[in-house]
Amino acid sequence: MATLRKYGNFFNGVWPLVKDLVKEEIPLQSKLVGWFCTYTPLEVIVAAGFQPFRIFGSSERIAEAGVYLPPNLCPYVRACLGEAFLGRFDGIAGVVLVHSCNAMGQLASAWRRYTNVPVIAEVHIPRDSDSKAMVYMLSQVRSLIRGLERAGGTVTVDSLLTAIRTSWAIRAGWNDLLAKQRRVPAFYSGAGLSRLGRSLQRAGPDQAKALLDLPRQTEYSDTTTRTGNNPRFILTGSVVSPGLLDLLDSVGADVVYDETCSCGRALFSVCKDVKHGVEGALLESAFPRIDPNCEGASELDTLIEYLASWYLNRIPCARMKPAGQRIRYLVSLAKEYSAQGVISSVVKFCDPYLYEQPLLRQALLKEGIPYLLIEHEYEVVPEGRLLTRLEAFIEKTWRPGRSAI
Amino acid sequence: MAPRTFGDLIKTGLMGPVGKRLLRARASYAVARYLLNRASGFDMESAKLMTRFAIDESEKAYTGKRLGVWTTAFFPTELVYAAGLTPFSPEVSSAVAASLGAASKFLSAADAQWYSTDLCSFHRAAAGGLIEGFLPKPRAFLASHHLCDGGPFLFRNAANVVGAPLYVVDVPPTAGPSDSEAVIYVASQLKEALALLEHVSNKRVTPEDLKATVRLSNECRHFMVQVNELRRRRPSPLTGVHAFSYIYLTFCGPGSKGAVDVYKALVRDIEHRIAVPDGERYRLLWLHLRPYFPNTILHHLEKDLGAVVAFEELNEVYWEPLDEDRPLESLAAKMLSHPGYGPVERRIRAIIRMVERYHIDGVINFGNWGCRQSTGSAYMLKEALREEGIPYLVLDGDCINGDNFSEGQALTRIEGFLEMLSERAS
Repeated sequence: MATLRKYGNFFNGVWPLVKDLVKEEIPLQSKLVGWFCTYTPLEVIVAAGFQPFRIFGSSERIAEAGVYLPPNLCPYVRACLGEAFLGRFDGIAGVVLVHSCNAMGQLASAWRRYTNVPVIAEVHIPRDSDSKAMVYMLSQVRSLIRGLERAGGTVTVDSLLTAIRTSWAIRAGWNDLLAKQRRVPAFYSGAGLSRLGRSLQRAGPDQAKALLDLPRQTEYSDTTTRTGNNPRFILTGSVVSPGLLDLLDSVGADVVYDETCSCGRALFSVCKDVKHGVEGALLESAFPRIDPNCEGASELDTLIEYLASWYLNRIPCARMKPAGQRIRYLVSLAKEYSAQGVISSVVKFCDPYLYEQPLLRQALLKEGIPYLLIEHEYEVVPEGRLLTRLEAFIEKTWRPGRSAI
Repeated sequence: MAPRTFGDLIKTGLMGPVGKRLLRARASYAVARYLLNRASGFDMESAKLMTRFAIDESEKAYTGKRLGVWTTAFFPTELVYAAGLTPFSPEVSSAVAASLGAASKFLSAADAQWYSTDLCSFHRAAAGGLIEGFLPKPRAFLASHHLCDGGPFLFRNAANVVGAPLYVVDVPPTAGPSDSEAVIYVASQLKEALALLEHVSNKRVTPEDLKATVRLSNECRHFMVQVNELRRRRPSPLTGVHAFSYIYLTFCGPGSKGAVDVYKALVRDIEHRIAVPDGERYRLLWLHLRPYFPNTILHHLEKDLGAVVAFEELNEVYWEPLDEDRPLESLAAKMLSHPGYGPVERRIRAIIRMVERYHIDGVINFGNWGCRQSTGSAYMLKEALREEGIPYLVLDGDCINGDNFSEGQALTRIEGFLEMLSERAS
């Protein structure tokens, strides 16, 4: 918390407003649709007249969830089931379950059996992005639309086009914020920006725009306390609670890009007009047919195809087939954001990210990028051992005045 | 002490200082076959045939007698045999390493390469075996995501180390074989996997080649069904001590002549054993796999306590006969119909069916620490089976890593479980 005071301009100024905005914007509970995985096509949910909100889970009833899901299964998955047991989702329209890994598959089974929160659709996201995968992805998006229609929603060409454009505006706004993180010193605190990113995943379109405007106001920007001497890191990995970001702030580390499932990966942009985005640059060349403005889209199928293509062609997460593209992306992020190292935050028992470690470590070390793996129980608490590891990593990777990678 | 049995001889040779070289020397396999022919420790012809099959296939994979590819458990090996290649299962090799007492060496090697100790020990040991040079380097890696995420991820890493091509089949979990879109999706991937195999083997796989292996696969299935039908008898003519070994063939056998011969012989073996009194008191269904490192669990259970493993979940024939005229689609349907994949209700229904079919008194689920598929649903199964009045025990442990398993504790729990079965019976 010391760092929150130290870098308080942004965080302390914005966070109460963020909370108020998110609180104000929550519409009728019955219009909410919960989601878990960043591959969920949120635009379809918005187009159907619902508000998607990210389920982050809660450790409050995680023990109760442990009755149904064993302790050697992803704690995030158990925390999500535990949050359902708290009754927070009572009365919502439902949730969209994505079978992204074995653990999410088990959550789907447990969710249907032990909660009374309706399942709008269970979607399988293909692990590749070729034509076969695309055909199957289309069937999954259509299945999601059918589920939303059963829940009382309607998806039209106009509503989907509006939802896609709004989504792009939000992603572009997020990219604008990230652009300032490339500066030395970084413009925002990592914890503050990540919290904003999490809030964006629970906000409606109008509130999201308002949230993105907050840090743009100069009174909340943080230019006075940062000196450029703080070590800069890329944070990658699976889901993580804000506790780890707070901890990193507290030891004086700037997370200049939070690429985890909890934040950056949900707000990725491959928009053509984001010229400065490395993700844009990488994917633009590989998939030129993606048109973020969808001009000329007159049929629903065209828009669905666009969405399916976009989700499959993003920078892949660790579950997807090509590992190389993701690893190259992390290397390019570290260079572009002048980072001194990469910290991988992996929730325990997360197979996709744990299996990635040998390859990722090897690739980063080959590039001379220091690397730290933190395995955690999702809700990260500032305990001594972890603190010592972080401090040791910072000492090892950074000296005042030392240049970035 | 000098080795006494065939198994002891293999163990002494492989784990010795020249073990790696022995694995790659053709003479080793000639010696192994010679010793096998003279061995008298086999009480079933099928077990001897299966050992012979394992020696032959290992020789091909290790010595380059035939090009080898790695396959994950449940990948359709029919395609591999059609291309004239040899499938090699690293998961089976981990079980063998554990039984030879070599797993800890492999696990340590994997730990040093950043494989978390919370990952599946089958895959960690395989990674370590590759690092240590004990596993053959394949020409390609073929994996499927159904049931298990770990296998394909391990293969991704291994393909990077070896520098060989990788193909991963993505199998949708929500769909069953009746979902035509899913069948088309999986079949189209199998077609690409086959193209990779053709490239590796430099051989065009004709429709006749595929038909031939599908026919062998169906023939194998036919005898497997017969075996399972015979296993319904009381007392159980084939118990866990022996039956677990044949799971090897479900991983590496489909599409091979060798697997057909083994199962055909197994039918004969079981017919000879029927009605042999063996003190059967309870009939158990075993879920997932057993611990492969040296331990007394199964022996104690079956010989001392009279609780026989009458059936194993992984020996169930859950798929329909394959269609020779539509091989890829029917293999896709087979993959999609696995009861252990997708909604837990599928597995529950399959277990209840097995309980009824094999006259089961109680179910034991062996929870392999790193397995999200099997242990992930352990408690949901418990509740569902309790509702059906089926006694159920979760035995937490590890199939490969003996350090992660307390035998004494497991025996105590088993004995408590059997007491409960006894009370129910009385």
